[in-house]
Amino acid sequence: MDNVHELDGCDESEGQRLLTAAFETVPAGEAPAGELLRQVRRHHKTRRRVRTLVPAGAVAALGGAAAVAVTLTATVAAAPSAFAAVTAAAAKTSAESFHVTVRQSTVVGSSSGARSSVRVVGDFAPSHGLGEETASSGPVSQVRYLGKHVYARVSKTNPLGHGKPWVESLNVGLGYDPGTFLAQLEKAGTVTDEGPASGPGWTGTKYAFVVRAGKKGPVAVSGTVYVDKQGLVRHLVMTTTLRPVPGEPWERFTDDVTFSDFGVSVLVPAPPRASQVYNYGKLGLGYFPI
Amino acid sequence: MRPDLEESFAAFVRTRGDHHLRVAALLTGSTAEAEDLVQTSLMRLYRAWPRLEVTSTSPDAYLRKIIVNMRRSWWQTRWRQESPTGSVPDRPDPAEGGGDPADRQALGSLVRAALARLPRQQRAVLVLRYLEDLPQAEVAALLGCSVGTVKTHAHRGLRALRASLGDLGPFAVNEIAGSRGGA
Repeated sequence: MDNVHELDGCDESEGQRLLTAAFETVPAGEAPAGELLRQVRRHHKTRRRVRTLVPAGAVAALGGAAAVAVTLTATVAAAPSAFAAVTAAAAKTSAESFHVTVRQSTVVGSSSGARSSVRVVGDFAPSHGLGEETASSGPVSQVRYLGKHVYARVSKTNPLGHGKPWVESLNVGLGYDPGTFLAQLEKAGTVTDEGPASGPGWTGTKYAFVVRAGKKGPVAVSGTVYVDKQGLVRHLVMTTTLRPVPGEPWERFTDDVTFSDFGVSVLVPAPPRASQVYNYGKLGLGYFPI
Repeated sequence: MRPDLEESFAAFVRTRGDHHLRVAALLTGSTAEAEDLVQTSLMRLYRAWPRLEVTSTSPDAYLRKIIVNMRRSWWQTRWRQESPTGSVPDRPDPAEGGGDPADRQALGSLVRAALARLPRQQRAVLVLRYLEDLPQAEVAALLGCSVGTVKTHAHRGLRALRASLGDLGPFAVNEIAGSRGGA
């Protein structure tokens, strides 16, 4: 919009008077504040009951961040429209701030092998290098991303902390930034359109994707991504099979990531006091695997 | 949620719920839609409440952000269903002076009807700027536009309000609207 109008004091006070009159005389609705409160509580009680039906895992694997940050190499061969829609959505979502709810499940050894799951919630603003995620269980309970630095809160028994509750390292990528997913897809992805989809408060399209493995890194990455009509990624389900290490059981994990609250204010608390932090950056180690 | 957080959330809804309902009514042009919008927004706020306490974020600002964002996304799917208010409210009689509550009620109805006819961005700018008293830069950030666009919407929105209020005349409007202290 190129025509910018300056408003004078009379305009401002007239606007305030008119809007105040409109505000003060809004007719009473059907739902006073007390009724709203009851409805909110009823809604959340229902959600809690549903959630308890989902079995929780006992042990969590380290980090969704590593899961999303894996790099693969191969060639791109995708249907242009589906591929373009998904890559554009990943880029657009990465430019937003958002809330994520993640369930990461891990299977080790075989399809009937040991299973674990962890629930992660967090807020991210990738364009500002900010993010915070909290895990329901596992050796890393919280991760804060602040620009070039990342802080992870570790359990007392976690050797990473060397006895301190926090470890600091260089930030090599936000945990659940769709931009990281985009980088993988652009290098090695194929995408197919799976038709219309919808979720709470949105409608859009479901896409399936496969990222072909290179000589290093995981042997397989595949999943589905849901993009709404505004071109934002709403849901990402990604299964990664790690390259087996000789003598070790193979491991496969699935990140089920729901994106919501676009535009949310992301406020990351200040870094912990230096005395509480074991600093890998200062040791010249660069970064550690969260 | 912890019991103390439950209580602080309840206190917030009790003390500020009505304010946000009224603001939402002006944003949407409908009290029923405002209730849906605020209720859904409060559900999100409830989930975020423990984090807000930790980060000292203003719940008002957070809820406002949710309401504005949700309203924006609702609009993209629901705007075709929106219709201006069905009937034109009675006009206040300037000859009867500005102190009459009935006149103020009538003026409020007129302004709400005029607001409901404005394009949604103009309406949002007027509500956030003049009712919520947010700085232009904050309005721009909430709506995802430039400060220049906010100024233009405010200018055009006010001009449209004046035109809608028509022969009531700015003097009479100010007399009536200002009779309870204005902003």
